[in-house]
Amino acid sequence: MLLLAGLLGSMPSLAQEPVVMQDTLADVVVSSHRPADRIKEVQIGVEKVNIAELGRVPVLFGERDIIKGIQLLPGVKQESDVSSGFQVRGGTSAQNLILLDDATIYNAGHLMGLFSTFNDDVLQGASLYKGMIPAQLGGATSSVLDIDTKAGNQHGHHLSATIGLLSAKLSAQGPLVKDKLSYFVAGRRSYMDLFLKATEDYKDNMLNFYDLNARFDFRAGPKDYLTLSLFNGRDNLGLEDMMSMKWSNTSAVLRWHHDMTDRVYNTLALIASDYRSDVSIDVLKTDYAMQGYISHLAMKDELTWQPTAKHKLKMGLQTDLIALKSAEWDINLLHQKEKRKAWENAIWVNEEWQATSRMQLSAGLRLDAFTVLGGAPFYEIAANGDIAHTYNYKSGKFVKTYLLLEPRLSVNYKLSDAASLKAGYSRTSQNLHAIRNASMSMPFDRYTMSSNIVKPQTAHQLSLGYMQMVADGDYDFSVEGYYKTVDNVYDYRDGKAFYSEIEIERIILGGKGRAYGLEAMLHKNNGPLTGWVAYTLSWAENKIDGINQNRWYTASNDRRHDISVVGMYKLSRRWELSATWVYNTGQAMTVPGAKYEAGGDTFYYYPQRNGYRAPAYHHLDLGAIYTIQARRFTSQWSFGLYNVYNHYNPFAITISNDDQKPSGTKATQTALFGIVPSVSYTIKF
Amino acid sequence: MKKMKRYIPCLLLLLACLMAGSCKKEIDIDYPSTAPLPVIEGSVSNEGMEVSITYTRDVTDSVKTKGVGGALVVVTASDGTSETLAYDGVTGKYRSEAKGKPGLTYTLEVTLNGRHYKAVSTMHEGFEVWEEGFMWWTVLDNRMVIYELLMSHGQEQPNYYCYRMFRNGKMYRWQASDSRGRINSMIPVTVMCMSEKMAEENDEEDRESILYEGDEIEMQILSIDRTTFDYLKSLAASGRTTANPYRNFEGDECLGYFSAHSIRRIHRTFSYKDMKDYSDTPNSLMNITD
Repeated sequence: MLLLAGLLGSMPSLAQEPVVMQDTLADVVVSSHRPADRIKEVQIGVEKVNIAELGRVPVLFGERDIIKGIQLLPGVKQESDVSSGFQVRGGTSAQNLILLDDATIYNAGHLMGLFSTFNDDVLQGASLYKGMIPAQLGGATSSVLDIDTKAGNQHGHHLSATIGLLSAKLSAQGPLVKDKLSYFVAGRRSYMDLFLKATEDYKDNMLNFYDLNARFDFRAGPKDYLTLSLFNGRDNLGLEDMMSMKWSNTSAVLRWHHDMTDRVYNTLALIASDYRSDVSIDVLKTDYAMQGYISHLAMKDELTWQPTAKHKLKMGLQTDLIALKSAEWDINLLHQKEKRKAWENAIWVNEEWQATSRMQLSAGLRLDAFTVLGGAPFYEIAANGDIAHTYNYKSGKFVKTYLLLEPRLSVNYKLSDAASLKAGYSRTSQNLHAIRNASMSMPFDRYTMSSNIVKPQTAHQLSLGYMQMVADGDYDFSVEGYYKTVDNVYDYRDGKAFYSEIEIERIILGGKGRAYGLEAMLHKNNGPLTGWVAYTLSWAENKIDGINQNRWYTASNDRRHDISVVGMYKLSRRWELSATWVYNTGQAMTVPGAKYEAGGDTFYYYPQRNGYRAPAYHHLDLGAIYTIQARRFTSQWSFGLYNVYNHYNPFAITISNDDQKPSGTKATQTALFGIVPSVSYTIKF
Repeated sequence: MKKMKRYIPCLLLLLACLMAGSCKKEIDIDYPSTAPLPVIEGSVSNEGMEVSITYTRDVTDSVKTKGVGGALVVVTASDGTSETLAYDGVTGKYRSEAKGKPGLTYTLEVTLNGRHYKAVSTMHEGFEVWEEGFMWWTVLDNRMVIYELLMSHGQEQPNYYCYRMFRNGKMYRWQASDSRGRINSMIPVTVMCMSEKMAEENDEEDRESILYEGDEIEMQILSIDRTTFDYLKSLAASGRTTANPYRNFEGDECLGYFSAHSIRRIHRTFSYKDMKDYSDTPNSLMNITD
């Protein structure tokens, strides 16, 4: 890569992308969030997330949250009120890749997903690629959420503290060596467990989470810039000695940005990340403990060359050693584990080309090579899930290699300075598979990798869009349509759960999915009132052998209509008001068509998978921020009211037999939240 | 600290209000209708052979269907013997006095209205029950009524079993399980029955769960094969996964299963005065040593 850079370095000089040096305390507005930039953006299906804007949107319990924020964008849906997972264009949250400064984060939720593991104070910005992903990114068939943290201030020290209903957070930043080395450290911790500990009845229970972020930016010279980014987030839940659930993400990323010439630069990243889960139950003579992990040790190198103003070429490679423990458990006296290793390599090239004054292209090709490594047993599985044969390979031996060629293409045709037409195609793949019993992410999800049996999940997506800006950018309107197919979607066999067998390939089956839809968005960008209206019309379907008589069926994450209305109003220098209203068609669910008796109990017969709709989901939330700007500090009160009209949205619907009633059956809807007020206080020095 | 303690209940109440604002309500669902399907439940055990054939009913039908006669029901054993089961109009079931033998594999074939159904199951040795009884136990400061049973099995490989607890002749609790991680000479079965609070409050909606003084309890322990275990696990999960259980029968479409098993029955009358109290000795019921 460096050799190639040397050759390229002899070309004439042109402007290049500036090195990111974030050094103000003010909230960052991502530049390409401007409507004119959205018109120019060549990549279709990408949302640039404005952290500052999201911070003004009212949210549950007042915990500002990037994941909750992106769920207000078209084509993005939440899994549930208490899930930090999100679903993009008919995909599941298991098909998303979340990167924090290039490190992969799994199960990115605190308190079982009530809010995400990302402290918004440390975030600079994020890009959400809704399946139309440039070649330099891979490893997800639904979306990539690429999050960047803030660099510390190079000129002065600043402190920020916030206390909310459930947690408190503190951040500090400043120069360690002026104009050379800066730091940014932040921590957040819940504090409700401190009250539990002070009570006699609940002192042995555990309910806390924390996350810590640290970033150091070092300008080594005029051409070299180093960044060290560290993250650790952890949840601890426990009920006396009977049950505990813990999960954590830890990452460390060292990036070296080197300007080879003023039009060629290289970014090298060394990445280590580790996700761990630990669940245990010890009750009624059942002693159960399960642990799992996914760790990555990776190196990523990318060279950017901008030979002319019309061309920008990115090429790179990534190598990643993955260790995955699907589970290690102790069930009473039984101890079993399944862990495997793999080596994933990728090379890519992506060219952004201003082909004509009106047309811009982003064309890329990514070659992914996923090698399953020996050192663990591999199997041949019979149709009934039994092990037909066991293969033992030596540690490090190549068991199987999957080669996947992934073309990516995006075209932007400018109809005028205020309108553009976009189209794109992408093929993406994913070799890590989360297998879930519930429709949302949980700490006891099991993960597996592509193997001799489990195939890489692959997706094809076609997309077409139109964007129009009016009144000098005061408003913009966009509409995008998409169609995508996904192969090798894995799920548990009926009746199987994460604890059924240690050999995960015995309890899963593969299938395929397809999704299509239309997303429309109207933005108001200027004036005291800003915000957007987003509407998504979509379909998502699956086909898995053994389910629904092997026919296509509506996926449980299918929502026909999805509306988000977001408004922010600057009332005065001190007061800012905001409101959001969301509406989804009810979740697709399976209801019985008959019932029968077996073994003295009554059971239901289900004629069609997901053939019924739960009641629609909607709520209105209000927020107000009061800011006091003093000479030495800024303080802020944030007030929120979630679900203002107290509408109980369905979280679960259970159907139970009741032969004492003439109706014979009782359907009960459980809702989690009525109206929820919140308040938080922030002070910044 | 003292002052802080005064405010703790208020803070906890506030948190509880915020966190536990959940709400349950009954809703109407327009259930799809389907043509009735046959449901076959067959067993071969150390007590005899029995097969019931019923049909599914509408979700909103509160009247259970009766057994269907007129079918040809034949059980064939792997030793070559064969039994044709006769229909008993009183019980609505097909029966035979012939007893199953552990180690044999049985095939059930049913012909009804020109349609054919077939399933296979292997009978294993039964469990030996050493000790059982109701007792008090404490879970998160709630005193609970637990039923526990200690049993053993000769084979060293994992065993599959199903317990069925009947209260006054009606199904009360059941579960299919395996003995993974247990020593086969010492397998505990624990049934969570009710909390002391639930029994004291005696709400109408809890009466299906509340055990009353003098209730007649029958506990059945079935030693089942792997196929039946898989079926029963998928049947038990069907309400949660909203998926039909595995097909246990070959041939035309039907529901139900066939199991060859050894069965052990235990009868007792529920009485608070017979209960042992392990409230203060968590996780040490019956002094069992694993």
